[in-house]
Amino acid sequence: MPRSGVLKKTNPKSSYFADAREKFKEHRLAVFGLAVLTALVVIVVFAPMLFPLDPYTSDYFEFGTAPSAKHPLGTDAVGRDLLARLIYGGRTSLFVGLTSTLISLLIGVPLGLTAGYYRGWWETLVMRLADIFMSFPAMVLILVLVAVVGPSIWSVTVVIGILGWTQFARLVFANVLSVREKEYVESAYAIGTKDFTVLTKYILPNSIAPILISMTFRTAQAILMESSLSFLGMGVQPPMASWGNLMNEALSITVLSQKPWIWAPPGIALVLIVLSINFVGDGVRDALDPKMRI
Amino acid sequence: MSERIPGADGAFKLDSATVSGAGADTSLQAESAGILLETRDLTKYFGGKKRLFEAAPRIVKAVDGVDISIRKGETLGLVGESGCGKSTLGRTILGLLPKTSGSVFFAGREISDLPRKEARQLKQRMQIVFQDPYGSLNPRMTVLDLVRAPLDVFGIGTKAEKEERVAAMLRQVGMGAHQLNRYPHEFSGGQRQRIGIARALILQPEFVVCDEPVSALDVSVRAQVLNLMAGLQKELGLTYLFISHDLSVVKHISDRVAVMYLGRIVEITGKRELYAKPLHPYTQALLSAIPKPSAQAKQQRNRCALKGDVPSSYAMPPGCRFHPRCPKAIELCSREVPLLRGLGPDHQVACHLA
Repeated sequence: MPRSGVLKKTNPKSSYFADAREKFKEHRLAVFGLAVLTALVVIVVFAPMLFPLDPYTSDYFEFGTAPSAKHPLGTDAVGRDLLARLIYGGRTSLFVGLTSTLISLLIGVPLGLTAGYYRGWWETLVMRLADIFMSFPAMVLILVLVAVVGPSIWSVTVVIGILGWTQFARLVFANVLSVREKEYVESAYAIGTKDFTVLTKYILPNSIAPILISMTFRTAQAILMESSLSFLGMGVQPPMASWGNLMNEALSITVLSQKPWIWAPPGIALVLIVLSINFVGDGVRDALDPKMRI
Repeated sequence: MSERIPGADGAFKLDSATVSGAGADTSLQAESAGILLETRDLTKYFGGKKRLFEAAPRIVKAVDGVDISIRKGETLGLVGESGCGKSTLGRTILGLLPKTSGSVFFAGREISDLPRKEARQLKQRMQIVFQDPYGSLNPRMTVLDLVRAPLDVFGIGTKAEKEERVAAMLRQVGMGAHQLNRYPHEFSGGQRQRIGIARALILQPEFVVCDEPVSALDVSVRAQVLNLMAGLQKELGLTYLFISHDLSVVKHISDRVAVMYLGRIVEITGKRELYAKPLHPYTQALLSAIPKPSAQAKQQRNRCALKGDVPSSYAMPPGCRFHPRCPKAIELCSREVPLLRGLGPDHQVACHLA
């Protein structure tokens, strides 16, 4: 019998995500991480619009000076304001992290989906290719590729993005293997649903949780990779700022020991953003799927 | 050799190789005799691929030479213990699983070898209600999406027409239109099964395989759903293949009953006849296992417990598959496979002793 009223919810459409939100709120570290992350994002995105920040012009009277009223975080060796560079560098990090994750997602998810769904030779091809990709040390491969293409923000983003597909492909593949055996997928065949619709309406929506979770972790990873590359001088090139190339100056032992205001702020910012993204990822994972552990 | 008019006395087929070929004209006869669906020597084997480190490929003969015919408008109950191939038979008939050999005739037409496109069109006429109301509904679709999906697949009607039809269908299965935008997890098992029934019936099929539709439900809602299905059958003129392991459920809803053991039909007859006068020893054992409500009935009951377990489906016993457990088995049973043969009007048994 229809039990009208008993199960009434104000907005049943979002009930799944409403439940998840409640669970996320219980995860204190994740909420803290989300707060820090939001603050960082807001600063990095909006500060340049509100304050006159100039990360490129040299102050000819101040080269490598300590923090002062004029330059709150000091200046670098060529006299550029470090606070402005820190904030613009954050933009670079966020851009590279998100865009490259999106690229990985766009390559990995369709490949993993179809490999798990059609199996056979396609599965062998895709998954063995993933194994090959993963057997290379990522950093070395990226260094080589970037050296070939030439370092720039775009080449770094694209290379990191392309190399990240395996993570998504394998995750989605594994998930599809379990979802395709569910009775609701068989019910889709029973009503004559075409393969494409089965994939997009039945299998993909039931694989969203692991994809979302993986996205957060991958973004943190990509931000770290970009910083490492830029630190090594193979990533984002000056004058464009990135947290990695800000720290590049610390390669000099004088800077490292005598001028911590140059490398400490970008280092701290990097740790903060990566940690908080990872905490948020933990929270999302626990909220969406308590049984899952990556 | 294997020609037969279903329901009549006479020799029944056997031996896998004999059949097929001479299908078309007999099926026309069948059509005129009111037969909607018929299987001939239908088999479905699983496995068979040689694996590494395995001496011989292992084959499970889930359905092994099944002949059944279902008349228009009737309910054929299909009973048997778990693992005997009931569900596999239902799915193979619908083409959800590819057959190994044999044929399926639907409305006089062989349908088990159709090209994919035509097989898809047939889904409009043949549907299935699944056993598990929790697993058979996509958790990310609303009731409206779920029940509308078949209409979407076949592009029937405009958006408004579809919604109207869904609402009407839901009313017919006893659900309200205010539940259209809810998700499956918000409903009880009985309600979900109603949604599943609505999805199966919205294309107005003629034939529905009911794969243990009430087994997963509480006893309290079983009768409701059963009565709903019986009512819908009358209203819409449906033909059911009703799979169940529950003899009382089958007794309630069926017109005729087929008993299955290890991939083969062992007895098939009218409901009354089967429950009053079971001929196959397996059927007798099954019926004697039905719990009786009163103490008096309990005493009268002539319980015949089977010895042993169901044999492994990898290693089927030779001869009659039931003989290792059969209380009446004779020497012949271990040698020769008993054929399904007519005994009395509309009563077929596969037993040497019957």
